[in-house]
Amino acid sequence: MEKIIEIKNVYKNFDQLEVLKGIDLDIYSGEVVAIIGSSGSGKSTLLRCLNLLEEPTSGEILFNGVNINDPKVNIDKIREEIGMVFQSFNLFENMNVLENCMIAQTKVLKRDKEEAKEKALHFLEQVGMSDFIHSDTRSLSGGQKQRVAIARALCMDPKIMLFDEPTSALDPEIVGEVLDVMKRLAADGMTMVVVTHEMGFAEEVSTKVVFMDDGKILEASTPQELFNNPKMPRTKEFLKRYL
Amino acid sequence: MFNFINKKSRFENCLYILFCLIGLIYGLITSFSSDLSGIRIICSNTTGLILQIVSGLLLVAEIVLLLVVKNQKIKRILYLVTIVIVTLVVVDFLVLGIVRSFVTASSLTKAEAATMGLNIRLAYICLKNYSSILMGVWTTIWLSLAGTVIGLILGLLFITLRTLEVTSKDNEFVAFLKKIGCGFVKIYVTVFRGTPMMVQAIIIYYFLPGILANLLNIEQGILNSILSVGVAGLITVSLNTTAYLTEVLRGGIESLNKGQMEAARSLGMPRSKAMFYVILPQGIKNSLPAICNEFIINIKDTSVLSVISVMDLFFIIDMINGKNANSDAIFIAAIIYLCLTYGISKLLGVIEKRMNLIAKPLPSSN
Repeated sequence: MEKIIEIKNVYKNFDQLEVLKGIDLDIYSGEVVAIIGSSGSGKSTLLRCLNLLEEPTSGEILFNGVNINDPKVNIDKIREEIGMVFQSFNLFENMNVLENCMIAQTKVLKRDKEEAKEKALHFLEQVGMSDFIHSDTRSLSGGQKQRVAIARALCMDPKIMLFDEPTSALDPEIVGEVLDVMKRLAADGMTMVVVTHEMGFAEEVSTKVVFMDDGKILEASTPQELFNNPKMPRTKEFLKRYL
Repeated sequence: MFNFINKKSRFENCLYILFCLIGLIYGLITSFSSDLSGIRIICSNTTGLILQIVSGLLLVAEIVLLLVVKNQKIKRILYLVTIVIVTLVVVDFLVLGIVRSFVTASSLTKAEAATMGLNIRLAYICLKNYSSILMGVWTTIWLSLAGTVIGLILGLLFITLRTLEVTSKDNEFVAFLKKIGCGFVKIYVTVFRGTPMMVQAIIIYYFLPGILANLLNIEQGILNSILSVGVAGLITVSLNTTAYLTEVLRGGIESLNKGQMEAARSLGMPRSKAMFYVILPQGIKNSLPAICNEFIINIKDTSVLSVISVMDLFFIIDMINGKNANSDAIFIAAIIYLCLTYGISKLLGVIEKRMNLIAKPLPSSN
């Protein structure tokens, strides 16, 4: 299995505040990594460092062996291969659903319109949004928006998908439809890193669960191990409140 | 349309009573006036008398209703009739009044007109100077419109400069240039928003050719002939509007969710493409009301260009005042400016509404 991402001794400070205090993690192709932890533990910051939305203060993040923090590296090219799904969806509001999925393909990957449209329709169907291709993004519900966001990221044919608390802003009733899409994605073999509070999803779907606390990775193991036999006391405390 | 008649507020009821009083008084006045009965709805004597009687009856009825009876249906009918009467009075007084002024004024000499009331004096001025007044209106409109459009284009250029970010990938030279660009726009906006447009107009008209001649080594005479008052006026409005619109656009862009840029970048879009395809379209749409507002403000502000003899509406009116040795014509300026600003703001309001309808569909029934 190839290593897609290597995180080596990454520190991240926001002015005086130390958010990441030495993270080491390897992510292999085909893995579904769930990152859990309480608020402020640095989960989202770590995820955002992976596609350089946040720049690590020190340490290295290697994507396919290339240090993404190197100034000589073209980060836009690397971001083409990393898909990201945000907690607040962030669909482009000046375009409809289909255009949202096509814009990056035509302007970044330089695919021609027909090819981009085909791909967009394919992934929109996969997430169950075929009926809404000409809809304005503002008329969609939260779950629908998130599914479009997932389709939009998939249209770039990324090697890895990052999910930043994808269901935290959704009604409990709608959470299911987004998790179903993510489960199917995982079953299809997509490498995924998911920051989530959905312990059920973490247990069912992920291949590795990483528990973060206060800027450090406290424990990382298979879901069965971590949920049934948590080793660190802090992990036990956290899981007690969630399960 | 007649929903307002159903309101139960005491003050609105009193308003209708006031309307009846107005109808009564107007009927009284016109019963005793006989000039130009051909251009009247409420002709003297007969119709004036009818108006008096009807208004008087309505007045009594409405006072009784207000104090005693609470029947809504009768109230509604009475109020409807009151509205009709008031509309007739307004049309007869204002609309036909204006027509009557013009008709009267057309048959007077200058000496005779000077002795008449303000409305006839104004009508006389309009009749004698309509071509220059129209030219003034045209100059005002195209200066404001062109100034706003050029200001918007330059504003877009400046906002791109202003929002350039120095990334860790840039070498020192590029970083330096970016900082200079950003600083230039900041200084420009401070200067052009911080000085009156009148002052800017004088400096640009009298001193710009000299400055440019020295800088670019061109014969000043050539520059002087290019920079006529019209050109100088246009340059002034454009540069002034650019400063304001740059700030408007900055507000429109900064009010956007940061996530829009983050989503665009995470799809691999370089910053320039993200700005062009995602951020700027939304930023401009957010800024549209303020941009339209700037156009309307420009219509009034171009009047200060008269200080360098630009032949806008105010300059023409000022000239007319000088010719007549009095200040009557200023009311014509006031009325025309009011009609221009009101009309254009209504028109832009309609356009904005239609554009928003296309952009914001009704929410789905999920």
